[in-house]
Amino acid sequence: MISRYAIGDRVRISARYAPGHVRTPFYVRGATGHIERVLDKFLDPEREAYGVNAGTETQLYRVRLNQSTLWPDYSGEPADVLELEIFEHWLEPA
Amino acid sequence: MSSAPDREPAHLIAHPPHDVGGQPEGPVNISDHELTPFEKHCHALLDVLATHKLVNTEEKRRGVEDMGEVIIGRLTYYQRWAVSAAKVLNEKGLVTTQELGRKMIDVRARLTAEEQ
Repeated sequence: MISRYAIGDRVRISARYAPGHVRTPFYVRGATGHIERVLDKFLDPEREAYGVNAGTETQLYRVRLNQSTLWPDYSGEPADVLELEIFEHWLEPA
Repeated sequence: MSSAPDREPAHLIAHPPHDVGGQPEGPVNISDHELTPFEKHCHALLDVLATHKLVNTEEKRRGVEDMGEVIIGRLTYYQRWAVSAAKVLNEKGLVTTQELGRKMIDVRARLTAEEQ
């Protein structure tokens, strides 16, 4: 399976705000982190949400972000991270 | 969840009301309860609809998101599912508003009779 990104690649989560059903939380859009692992391909939920039930397989990744880059006033451990699963079309090289 | 009138239209579109991660809010209520008969029926119905690709999970979520902040805030979790499923089935022409409205009257009459 060919994926655009590999483990360790630096990526930026796209800062896009169009209407529609998306699975990328608002608070991580524009954030930069790295690929923690390459997952499977799944149907694109943005199309499934409008009844497209086949033919949209899209690569999913687990992305790791530092908590301190997400929250300016973060007071936890500097090593704290957030991992979340992001589809390839929401990622850009960073 | 902040109240709808406080938010600019552009912000309401860009930041959908169900997506509350990272926003200031009070303590999270984590109390649990036994599912009610309605909740069990609703969960089972949505599983069947998803299995048959009539209302998939993402369509169900999209239908909830499209309700807007006020309704999302007022309905319970499974009430949102029921309303969302009705909307998606209606969009696909699988159920009409007329059929659903008449059925709701029938069900309400039956439940009222059972209570008496």
